[in-house]
Amino acid sequence: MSGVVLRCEGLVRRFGDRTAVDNVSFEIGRGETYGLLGPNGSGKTTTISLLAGILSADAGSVELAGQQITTSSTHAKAAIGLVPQEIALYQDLTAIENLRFFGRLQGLEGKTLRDRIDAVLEIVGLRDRASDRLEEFSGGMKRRVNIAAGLLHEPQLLVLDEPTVGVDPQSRNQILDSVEILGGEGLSVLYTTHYMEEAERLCDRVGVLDHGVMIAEGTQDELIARVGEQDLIIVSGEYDEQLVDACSQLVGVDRAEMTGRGLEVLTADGTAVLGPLVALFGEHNAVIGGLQLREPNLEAVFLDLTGRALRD
Amino acid sequence: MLSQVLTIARAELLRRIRSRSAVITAIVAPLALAIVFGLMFDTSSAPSFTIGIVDEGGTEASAQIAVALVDSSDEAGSVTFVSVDDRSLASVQVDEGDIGSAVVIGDSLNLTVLTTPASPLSAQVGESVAASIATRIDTGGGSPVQLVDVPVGGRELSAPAYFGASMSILLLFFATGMAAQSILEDKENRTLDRILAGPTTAWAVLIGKVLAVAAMAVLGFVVVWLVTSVIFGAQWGSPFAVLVLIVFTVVALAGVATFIGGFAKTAQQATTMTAVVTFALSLLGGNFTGPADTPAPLRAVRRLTPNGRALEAFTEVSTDAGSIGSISWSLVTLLLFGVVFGAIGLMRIERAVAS
Repeated sequence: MSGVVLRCEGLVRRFGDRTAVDNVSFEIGRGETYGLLGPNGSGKTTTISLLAGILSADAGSVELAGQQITTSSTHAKAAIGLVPQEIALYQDLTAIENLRFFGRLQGLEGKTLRDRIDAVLEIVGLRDRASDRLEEFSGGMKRRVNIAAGLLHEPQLLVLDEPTVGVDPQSRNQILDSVEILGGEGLSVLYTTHYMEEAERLCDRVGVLDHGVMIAEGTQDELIARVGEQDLIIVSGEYDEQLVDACSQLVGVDRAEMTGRGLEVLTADGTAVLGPLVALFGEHNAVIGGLQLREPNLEAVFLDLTGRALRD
Repeated sequence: MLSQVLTIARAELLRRIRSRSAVITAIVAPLALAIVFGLMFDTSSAPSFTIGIVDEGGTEASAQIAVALVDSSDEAGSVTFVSVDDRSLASVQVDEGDIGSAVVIGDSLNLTVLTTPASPLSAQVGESVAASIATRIDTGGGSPVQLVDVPVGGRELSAPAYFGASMSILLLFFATGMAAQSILEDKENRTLDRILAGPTTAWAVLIGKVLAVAAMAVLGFVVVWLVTSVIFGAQWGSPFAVLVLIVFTVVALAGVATFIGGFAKTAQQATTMTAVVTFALSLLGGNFTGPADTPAPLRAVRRLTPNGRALEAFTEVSTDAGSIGSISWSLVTLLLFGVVFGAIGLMRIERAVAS
């Protein structure tokens, strides 16, 4: 059996003049959690729609568990469990009615279906709320049922499209815990997010999408190595171009730029640069709103690759 | 595919039944409207007309005609001729509604009919009487008018039955339009993506949803039929013919509603377009008027609409004791409406779903 559960090659999808997915290729191994990282509008959801056979690709191919996936595939699609970004469930049905519905569409019936419903509700921690209508659930609980529906038919690849958007911190942690457990049990997972910390926590490998193009791919260490293991200093506040230019001229600074979070400075040694940086602010009579020193992470990788922050 | 179609249909039915608006649209509203319209347009008793006769000519001939008319008033009392002294009095009585119209016989047997817009049917009766007199005079016939009851159909048209069918058809458009709306809602909230990411095809989704709303529509129509029959004694005609006609009507309207939905991009658009087309077709098809009240030019147009065709067939079954054979052309027409429009609508929706 091949060690690859998903293989996407040269995927292209256009909407009119706009190319939403531009020659995207990547693979996911069996038992691997693969993160697709990128800001809003980078093409993550469209990529998922292509590999799930919901949209047809203008070019390229998708192979899932050894079978080609197109919009007309039926049996091949049974290998994928999709958890859309939206709560793709019927609010006027109960949790168990929703699961029964989607389970039957996957070909599950009778005792098998009942057992699977029990199992997935246990995984997401909602067995005691199974008979309640979805409209009575909190946002986090709805997302957990959303995940449960994707797990019903025991897919080979679970695809989660930004599953923690708009969710309270407690539910978010529960979702992340569930994904970690599932990954640990050998399930292959494709996880898309624009939260760097989620990708860092869950993913074995990460692909970085920007404007529909896969601009980097690898393990976190490999990607961070691309930016030379640099520290990131964030100074909160609004600063003029003169100060930004001055910062970029400091010894040891590789890049300085204004972003939505303030002045961001990439440097090989943050502690050595901090002092001269603060002094420079003093010379320019600029007020430091707040100061953070961050170890190199995917955020820095994205900033280095695109010149923008992940959540700009 | 069949199991997926049935799964989708079952879930859709469950959601529709839980949604009070669907039950109201498919069952409660047509029943209520049928009762209201039926009471408003009750034609269970024969209409009666009082026509004034004025002998203005004062000749022997005009007096004979006037006397003969008054003496020949219908025994059943549906048309009564009364003698009126003069034209001005007759005019006042017509205006005030004491008589429906008046025929004034002049000295050279010229005839004038006094009418009022408030009583158009009485005006027609008066004009018919005058025309009959004129014909008799021209041909030298004997008694100027002979009133003979000629029954038009085998039974009186039952108002609750007619308006039961009419209002059910009107609201069927909304009920069956819910299928396209539901699909577009699923597309908007990405439930459709989840469904299509599995082994279910878009066609299974479409057929399942149309099947569910059609079943609900048939059920609603049958409830109206049964309630108006049992409680109001409405005469719908042969039960088998009525049931078959209900099913074919639902097929036709589901097809048209799906066609409309195929041109919508959002669920809200589908709702609006369905409402506009429904009212237009209902006006053209005669859903808001009794069969006798439809102006002649519109009667031809009515037959071009699925609802008009269906109403004609219901009327035939109700009044002429029509059987399946007698309404077979109407059934074929309704089926064609359903299949042709439905197929186009489904193909358009399927293409929108896939994009």
